[in-house]
Amino acid sequence: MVVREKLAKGDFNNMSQEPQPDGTLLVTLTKRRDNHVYRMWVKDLYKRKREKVIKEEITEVNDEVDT
Amino acid sequence: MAHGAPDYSGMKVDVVSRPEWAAKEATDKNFLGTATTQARLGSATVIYAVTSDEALYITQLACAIYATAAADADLNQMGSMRVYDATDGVALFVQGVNGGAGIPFNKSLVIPTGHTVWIQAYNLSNHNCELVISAGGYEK
Repeated sequence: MVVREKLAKGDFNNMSQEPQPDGTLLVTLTKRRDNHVYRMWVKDLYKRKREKVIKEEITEVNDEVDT
Repeated sequence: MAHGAPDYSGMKVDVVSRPEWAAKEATDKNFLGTATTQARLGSATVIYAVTSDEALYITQLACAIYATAAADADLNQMGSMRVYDATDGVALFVQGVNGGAGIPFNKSLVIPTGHTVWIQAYNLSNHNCELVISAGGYEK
């Protein structure tokens, strides 16, 4: 649950949220001077008892994210 | 040094806005939410719980609303954008738009630590629309 922890700690500079056709929410996090893109597909984000992270994906990018 | 004036050549001073300064000195935060094919009252929403020990300051907000179908592209694209403190149940900012808008805040919207904020764009047109909402700010 690396991505979920980063979200919980506010350990990011940029976040996007995009609903997916399967009912999940795609949350993407990036941070300056960190050459990774953090993605998770989650259902019922912030709904304590129902929240469920379906999948996480951490992608290394060639250049540091500096947007 | 001429005429006894101090030598300021080594000193650099930048005049920047507070949000610009904060984005460098605090933790810069940018949010983007999208939603496709939204009927009237559908929304694009970014939800964020401020759980660090810092508060979130929102310094700018923007949205775009455009028709899903090409046949509706020339119509008015009515909608609204808002910032809602879901913990307190209070809307901090609401603005009606036609097609989209962007606004920098002279006075930041403050989301205290422990609170959850919804940053939203709503479709208020009578046809399906694509929605994008973005916000910028910092945590400190």
